[in-house]
Amino acid sequence: MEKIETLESIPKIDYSRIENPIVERIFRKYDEFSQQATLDNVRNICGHRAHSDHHKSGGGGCYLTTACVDAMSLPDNCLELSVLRNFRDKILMPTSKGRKSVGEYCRIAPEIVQSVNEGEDAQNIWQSTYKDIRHAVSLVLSGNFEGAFEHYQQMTSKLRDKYLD
Amino acid sequence: MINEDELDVRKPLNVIIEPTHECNLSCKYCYVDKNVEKGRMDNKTLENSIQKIAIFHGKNIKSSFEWHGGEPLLVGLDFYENVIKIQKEMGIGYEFENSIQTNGTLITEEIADFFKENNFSNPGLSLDGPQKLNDMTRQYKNGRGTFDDILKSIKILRERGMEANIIVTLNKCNIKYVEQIYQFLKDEEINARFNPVTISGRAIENSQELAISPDDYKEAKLNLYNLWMKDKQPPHLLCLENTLKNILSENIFCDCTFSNSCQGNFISIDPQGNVYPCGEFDGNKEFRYGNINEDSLEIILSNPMRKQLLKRAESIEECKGCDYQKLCGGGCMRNAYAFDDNVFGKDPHCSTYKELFSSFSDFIQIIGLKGGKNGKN
Repeated sequence: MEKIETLESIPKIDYSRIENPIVERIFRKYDEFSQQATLDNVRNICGHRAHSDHHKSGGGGCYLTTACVDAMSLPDNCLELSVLRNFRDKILMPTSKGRKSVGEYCRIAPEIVQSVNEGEDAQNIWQSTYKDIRHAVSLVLSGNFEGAFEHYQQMTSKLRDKYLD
Repeated sequence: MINEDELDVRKPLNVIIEPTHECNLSCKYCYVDKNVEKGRMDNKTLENSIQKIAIFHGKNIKSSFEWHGGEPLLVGLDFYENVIKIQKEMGIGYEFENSIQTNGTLITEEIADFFKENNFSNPGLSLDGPQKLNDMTRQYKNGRGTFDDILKSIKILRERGMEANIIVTLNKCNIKYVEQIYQFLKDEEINARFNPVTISGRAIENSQELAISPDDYKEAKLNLYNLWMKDKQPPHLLCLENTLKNILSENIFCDCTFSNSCQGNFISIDPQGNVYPCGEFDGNKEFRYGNINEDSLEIILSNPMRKQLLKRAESIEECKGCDYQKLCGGGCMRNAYAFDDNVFGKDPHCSTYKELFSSFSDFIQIIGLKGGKNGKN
C-alpha cells in the first residue's frame, strides 16, 4: 500500500524569525488548519448521519472520501477527512454556490457508494479514487480552494457517470 | 420569482442596523450629515428587519446583525431586549449573532451584563488615542472630551470578561502621533483598528482641520506595521491581523474593505427601514435599494445599483493587472466616493494597501512559506 505522505506539500514555517507573538499565533493557526484541520466544527450537514457501512464515527456527508480512506485503512480522524470536512464547513457552506453543490453531492454520493460497493472491484475503485482525494486535499492545503472544489466535483461527476447512469 | 443565485449573495448577510441617527456626541469628523432624519426605529421596522433576514437565510445559517448609528445605545436597553425577544420568537434552528458599534460613552453595568448574557461579540468602541488626542475630536455637544467615559466603559466590559475593539480614526489631529497612540494601546492592552477619516457629512465643514492625504495615511500605517511586527508584547491591531489572515487564506477571511465587493454580503438598514449598501450612504437616494417594510428582501437585493456595485472590483481600470487585485478587490467604495464622488473609482488608499500586502508577503516568504502564499494572484 502506498505510504501516506500528505503533508509534503506544506512548506515549513521558521517560527524563530517571528518576533510578534500575535503574528506567530496566526501562523500557527494557519499551520494547524493546513496540517491537522480539527474536527471540532464538523457538522452533519446533510441532516442525517452517514451510512454506517461506510462511516466509522459520524463524519457526516464525506461519503466518497470516507469510502476511499476506508479502502486505504486510514482512521476516521485522518488528515484527508479532516481537511475536506473543514473545507466543506468553512469554505463551501458559507456560500450559496457551495451549499447547493454540497446538497447535490449529498443526494448522489451515497448512491454512488452503494453502486460501487455492489460490484466486485470496489476496493480497487476506491484505492484508485483515493489519488483524486489526495490531490483535492493538496489543493486545499496550498490554498487553491477553487481548484479543490473543481477537482472534487469532476471526480464526483466521473464516478456518477460511470456507476449511476 | 427571483432565483437566489441571481441575487449573488456570496456569504450569509451581515446586516448593519441603525436604530437611530442621533448621537449624544458632536465629533468633528462624523460622516452622518447633521440634517439626517431624527427618530428611533419603530417596532414594525425592527421586526421586519430581523424576520426577513432570518427567513431569507433559513434555519442553521447565522444571521449577523451589527447595531450601529448614530449612537445605537441612545435608544435604550429595552430596544435590545426586544431584539433578543424577536430573534428568540423565530424559533428553533434560526441562528443569530449580534454585535454593536458604539461611541462607548453610554455603557453601564446593566448594559454590559446584557451584552454578556446575550452573547454579543466584543463591542466596537471609538477612541482616537490618549486623552489629549482623543478629546480634540471626540467631544460631547458641550465640547467636553469623552476619554474618561470611554475608559470607564472599557473597564466595565473587562470586569465581565469582554474586550472592547477600538476604532482609531486617523485624522490631521492625531496622525503625526501614531507612535504615542500605539504605546497607549499597548500600555492599556486595548485592541484596535486604524481607519482613515472620510470627509463626508459633518466632517465636510471641518475638512481643513481634519483631512489627511493618502500619503499621510500610508506613512502612518507602515509606521504601525513596523512597530507591531517587531513588538514582543504587542497590542492586537485588528486591521493588520486581518490583512495577514486575508493573505494567508487568499481572500477568504477578509474585512469588508477587501471583500471584492462588500455587497456580496453587506447591507445597511436605517431607522426608517431604508436599505443602503452601507451606513455611510444613508440618506443618499442614488444608493437606496428599497425599504424593508415595503419591499421583499429579494426585490431589495435585486436593485440595479447593487448589481453594479457587485461588479465594482472588476470594473476599476486602474486595478487591472495589479498583483494584489484578488486580495484587495478595489478597496472600499465609500472611500472612493468620499474622495472624488465616484463610487466606481479606486480607493484613494490603494498605495497603502499595496505596501501592506507587499510587506506581509515579503515577510511570509522570509519565514519560509513560498509559492501560493506570496499574496499575489
